[in-house]
Amino acid sequence: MHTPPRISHNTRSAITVWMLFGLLMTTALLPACQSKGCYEETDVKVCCSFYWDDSTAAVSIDSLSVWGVGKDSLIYDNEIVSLLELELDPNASTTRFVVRVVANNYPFLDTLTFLHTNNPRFESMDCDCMVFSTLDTCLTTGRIFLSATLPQRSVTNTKTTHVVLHL
Amino acid sequence: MSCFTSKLTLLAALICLTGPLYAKKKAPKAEVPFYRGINLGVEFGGSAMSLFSDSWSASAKLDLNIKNAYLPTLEIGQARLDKVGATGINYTASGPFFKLGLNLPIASHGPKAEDLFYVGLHYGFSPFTYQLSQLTYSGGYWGQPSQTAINDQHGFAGWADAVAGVRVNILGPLSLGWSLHYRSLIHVSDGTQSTPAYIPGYGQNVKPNAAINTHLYFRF
Repeated sequence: MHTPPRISHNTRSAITVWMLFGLLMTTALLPACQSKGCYEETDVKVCCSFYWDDSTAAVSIDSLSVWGVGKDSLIYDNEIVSLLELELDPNASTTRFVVRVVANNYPFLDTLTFLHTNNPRFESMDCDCMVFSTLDTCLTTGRIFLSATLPQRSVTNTKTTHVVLHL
Repeated sequence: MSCFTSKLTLLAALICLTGPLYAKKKAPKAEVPFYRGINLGVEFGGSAMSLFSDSWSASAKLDLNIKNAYLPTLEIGQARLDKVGATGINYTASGPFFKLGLNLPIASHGPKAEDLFYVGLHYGFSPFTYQLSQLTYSGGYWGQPSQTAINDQHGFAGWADAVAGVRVNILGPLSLGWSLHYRSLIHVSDGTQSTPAYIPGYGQNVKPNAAINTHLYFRF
């Protein structure tokens, strides 16, 4: 049986002192518990890998350039790319990218069309809101990429292959 | 010093310095009746702190005094938060919370343990709702930042709450006390589009968390 010991008036005074001590200490220390920044991964991109139809391993593409339809700035500029990472338009349900590959000094162009639904996502008071997406489909024109499959439709801040582009 | 380290140091100091009180005052064994009364405690620190912070909370707890040795405790409360974050996000949350647990006196004074120093362990849980507005998201490659809102989010959380506290009789059946709470989440469910930033009765959704409660007690 747990029987607490009785204590004297002197000890009661000590308890009172402890009461004040506790109040002072915690008042001093609690403000230190404010969070100090955003530690979440806030990059949300759709990731595309390239496969030859008869291959089981992803391949990289040389001299690849990508830009958004209606935009001037290049996302990839004549680069060797094994994983294409693209930002979907958070304010639209369709996002289009032009892909250009130069082979034997001849430019091949394709257009990737993503149909998607957007969902705002809140993770922390210290981070801006993110916009996650769910891919409905990915279309190609067939000039570079014969077809596209979607192994992972949910586009979040976790980096994984969402789209497989078949060459 | 980090927040975690600060709180750990404080808790360790409280426990270590309580030791001598216990060691010096070994009392002769006496038969103590089983039922030694009920204390109703009203938490007033949360209401007072709402003058200086974005959160408000109030709670009442009952503890049953068994043989001056065991204090099973039930606490029921309500809390809310209305906060604008550094990024301009307006976060509002509210909900009830409940805590069940047992306190053990380390040292006590009086026939009904009117003054005591105790430690305890509690389980708390809260079903709550929250919403967010003025959420800014980047347009990234595609354009300007935009704003949105996320409404009608529901969460449920449960946590363990280690307590060290003091209660001192001030006048007749009235006592005053404070308790230091060291909390750690056991489970928390997210809303459909968000992770809750605040949990009623627990505080910020960080693990671990610490808080101080101040209670006015009435002894029956």
